Amino acid sequence: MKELRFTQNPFLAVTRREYFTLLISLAISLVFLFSNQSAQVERLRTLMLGAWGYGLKAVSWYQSMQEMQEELSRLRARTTRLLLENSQLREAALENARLRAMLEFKQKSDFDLISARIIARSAEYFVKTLTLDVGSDQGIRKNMPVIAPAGLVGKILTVSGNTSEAQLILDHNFRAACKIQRSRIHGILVYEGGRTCRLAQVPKNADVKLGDVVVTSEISGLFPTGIIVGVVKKIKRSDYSLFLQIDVEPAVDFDTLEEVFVIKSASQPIAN
Amino acid sequence: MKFIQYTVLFAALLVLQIVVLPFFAIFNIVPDAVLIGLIYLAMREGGVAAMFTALAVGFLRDAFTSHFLGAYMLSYVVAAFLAGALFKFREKLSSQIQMAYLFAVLFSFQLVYFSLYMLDQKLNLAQLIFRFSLPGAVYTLVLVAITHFLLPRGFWR
Repeated sequence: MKELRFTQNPFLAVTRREYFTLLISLAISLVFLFSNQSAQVERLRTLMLGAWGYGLKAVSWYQSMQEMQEELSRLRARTTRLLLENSQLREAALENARLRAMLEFKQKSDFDLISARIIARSAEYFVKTLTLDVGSDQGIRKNMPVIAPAGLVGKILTVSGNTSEAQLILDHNFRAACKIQRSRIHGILVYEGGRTCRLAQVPKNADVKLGDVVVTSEISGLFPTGIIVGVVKKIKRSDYSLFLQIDVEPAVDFDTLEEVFVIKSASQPIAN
Repeated sequence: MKFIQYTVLFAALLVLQIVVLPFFAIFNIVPDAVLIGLIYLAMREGGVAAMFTALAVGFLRDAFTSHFLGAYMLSYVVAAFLAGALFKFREKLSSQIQMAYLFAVLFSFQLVYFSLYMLDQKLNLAQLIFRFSLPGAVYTLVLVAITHFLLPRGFWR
């Protein structure tokens, strides 16, 4: 096997001792060579310096590439951190604005309000509820109205010690006595489907126009009078029905809702 | 004893190289008897002995003949190393391969030496090979052939 290898490459048979001797001999020869002051040696020095320079350049390039790679990793990590921080700051700013608006609303409001944060939402089709972080310990009772600065949200359905569940006006079982703010026409608010409610039981000849504001009515025993519910989006008159079909678009955007108020008691109704 | 024999041999080869062989120069190309001696030493005693001898002989030749100290030392060391490596198992090689290896050693020596010597002159690789290195190697190979026929059979073994 060794002979075969030898015939392929004779240098495989060279011993370490021989290589070592070669290195020593070459080193001694080069020392003598460089002791000359001839033009050849000057040229050799130039060539070797050039080669050395190229070698150093290659090493330096490799090192700089390594450093750049490390810097890139550091910068990527930093960018990610900053993006996260930026996102958190934006979130804080938005929350700040929202809470400011709610505080302002609470201060201006005539109601005794309990602020609550939404901690969960029901994902079921027929039951539309929100879970709030306040309960009986904070004075929450069943059927208390739930509002947002934009308008009516729903009412308290169940209460536990520190949480409560609010039924939305978008729930199929929700009912509320409401009226058209402009013409004082009364009706019953029911959920229609999608993002729309309907003002039912409004006579066919009633004075209702598109864009009319719908508010809670004094007939309702649960809700204070005058809380904005939504605006009339569509009116349909049918020859075969005694009532108008009035579609109401809720004033509250339920998708972005994060904080609400529970009305503990109404000192006086809102002026219409 | 061996040391004395080789010292005498290389002293004789140096004198031959410096004094006699320049008379046989063809177009300034002189065969290298010292190199033949080094190859012989590498075959008989191995690469290490040949390299150390190359260092000493090269130094002497540089000191006596060249204005470029170290050039012969380096060239002889390279040639001795190659000879030591290539002829390590020479009995297992065919005569053609041995001849090719021999020529490779001779040519390498000439190439290294002339590369160093001609450093300050604007020579291209073709000139370096065909004008200087190759003729020197061929001429030395002729001298090897002559030696081979003149010396007793089995001398190289």
